[in-house]
Amino acid sequence: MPAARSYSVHQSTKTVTEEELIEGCRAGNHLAQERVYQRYSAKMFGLSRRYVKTTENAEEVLVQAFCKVFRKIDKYSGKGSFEGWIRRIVVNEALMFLRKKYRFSEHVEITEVPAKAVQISVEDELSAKEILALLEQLPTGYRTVFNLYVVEGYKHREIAEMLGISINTSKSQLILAKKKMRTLVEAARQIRGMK
Amino acid sequence: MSREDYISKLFRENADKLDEQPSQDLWSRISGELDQPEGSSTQEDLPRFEQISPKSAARPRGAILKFAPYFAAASIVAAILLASPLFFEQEAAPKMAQKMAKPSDRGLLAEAIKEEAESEALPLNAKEQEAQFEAQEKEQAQKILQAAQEKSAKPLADKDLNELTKLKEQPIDELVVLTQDASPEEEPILLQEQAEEQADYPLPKMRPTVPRNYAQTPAADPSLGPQIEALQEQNIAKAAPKQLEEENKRGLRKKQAKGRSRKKAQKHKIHPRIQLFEWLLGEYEDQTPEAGTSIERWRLLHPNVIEGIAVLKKGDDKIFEERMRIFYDEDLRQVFLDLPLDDSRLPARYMLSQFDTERIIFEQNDQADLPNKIILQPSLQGYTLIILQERGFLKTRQQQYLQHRNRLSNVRAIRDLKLKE
Repeated sequence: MPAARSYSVHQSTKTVTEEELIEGCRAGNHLAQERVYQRYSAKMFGLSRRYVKTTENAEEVLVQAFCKVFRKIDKYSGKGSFEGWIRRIVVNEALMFLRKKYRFSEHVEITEVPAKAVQISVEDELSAKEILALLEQLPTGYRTVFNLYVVEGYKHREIAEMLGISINTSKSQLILAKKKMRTLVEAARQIRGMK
Repeated sequence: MSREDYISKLFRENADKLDEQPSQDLWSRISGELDQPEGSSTQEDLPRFEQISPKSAARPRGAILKFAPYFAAASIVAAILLASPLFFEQEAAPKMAQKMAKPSDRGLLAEAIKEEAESEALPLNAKEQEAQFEAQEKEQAQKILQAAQEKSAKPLADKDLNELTKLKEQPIDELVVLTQDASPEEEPILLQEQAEEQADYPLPKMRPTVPRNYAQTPAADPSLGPQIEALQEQNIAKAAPKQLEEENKRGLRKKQAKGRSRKKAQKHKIHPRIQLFEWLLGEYEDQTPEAGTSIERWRLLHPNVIEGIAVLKKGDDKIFEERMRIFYDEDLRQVFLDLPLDDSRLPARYMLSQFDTERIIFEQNDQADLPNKIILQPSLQGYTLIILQERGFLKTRQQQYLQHRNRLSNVRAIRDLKLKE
């Protein structure tokens, strides 16, 4: 009965283990799903935000990703980390979202993007704003490969499969992305030095 | 390429800084998506247009062309079948024309029928009617007499018949009336004490000549009031020691039980069908810097009714107020939810259609321009109210009215509220 359950919902402070949550999600328990969402939404939103430019789009990706997580929870074997599994789904959803608007295979060459000056406060430290500002300067193809390779740790072969491009394209996009990023960071340093 | 270069390190080490809570209503969206059957995505929010590429457009046309000869043959056969009744009709036309050429016959026949019908419809004269009845009666009497004579061993003579008629016509004084010899006496009503003394309480006797009446119950007789009171006092005095003993036995438990019984009494106040919504009772809140503070209070208005009052405040100004009611209709034996959905403030009525541990769903099918579902679902912090229109889009006036919800699309409006502590 909702009455009895809601009591525990509103007043229970018991910590629930990940296994219990997964079991709950498997059973289609709405509250277990919400707890999973609460536990991972911030991380996954940050992840999604790195791939797609606007907050609205990042949220759209997140909605689709979490729906997939809860619908396909039976496919999670329990061997690897649950967070890693969700992370992969979010990345896949972000790529699917980008694929609708962007063809990775057609954007191999460097495109001229007007570089904005990004201020970096401390050399080795980047704030969320700065990371986003820098990533936004990169064209979609570069940014995607850069994120997949540098942050997620995928191999070029895997990236090529995921994006439907050749391994060499993946490699060249990464080189160009890093080159572009270095330029941006140096430009930021120069601005800081001038100040 | 190495992952250990400066740029890679810089981004990898600072990657967690992007972790940020998404907007508050995102869970409602996910939850709403999960409610939809799999495969239907957010694209439902927008009208659907089928995009037909030249290839896909050509495919069905090719398939149709493949069956073209069969279609042609079938259409010819169908045409012949349809035309054949027309052909027969044309052949029959001259015969019909010949028949139509003899109007006199048709006229005569019609007249004859008309006359016959009129003659049946005309009323008979009174004398004729009487004569008919008499004849019928005579016939029946003769038949009865014949039958009686056939059955009886001795045929009845005219004398016997006369006696029979005499017997029938006997004066009422000579009839045997079954009455009691003694004059009817009023049965004395026994007092409670007397009744207790007698093992068998005698029931008042049935008197056919007296209109039937049931004996008065002792309690109904005002003259017996003092005696009844005395009896009641006696009973109380008998029961009192037992009660005292029991109370002493319970002793300490009494106080605990008191609290419990109070709770039970409160619970009993709610109608069993409304108990389903007991979890909803309380005060909820939602704060957004742009919209203001939403406060919603659900209270028990009546054992059958719980009412929710939602108020949206910005500073001291009350921007918006609405009332919702969940009630059990005794006549219809159904639980309903009333809530307004546009500025007219006229409540739309939804009937409880299904519920489980996750959500409670109200539905209506009467008006297609109103949302068809209202879903109440408890969440970790409070509850979510979802208004769904699955048969089209929310009307402009409805969208205007529902604009204060956390999230509004053209097919759904969602409000997330947290239980106020």
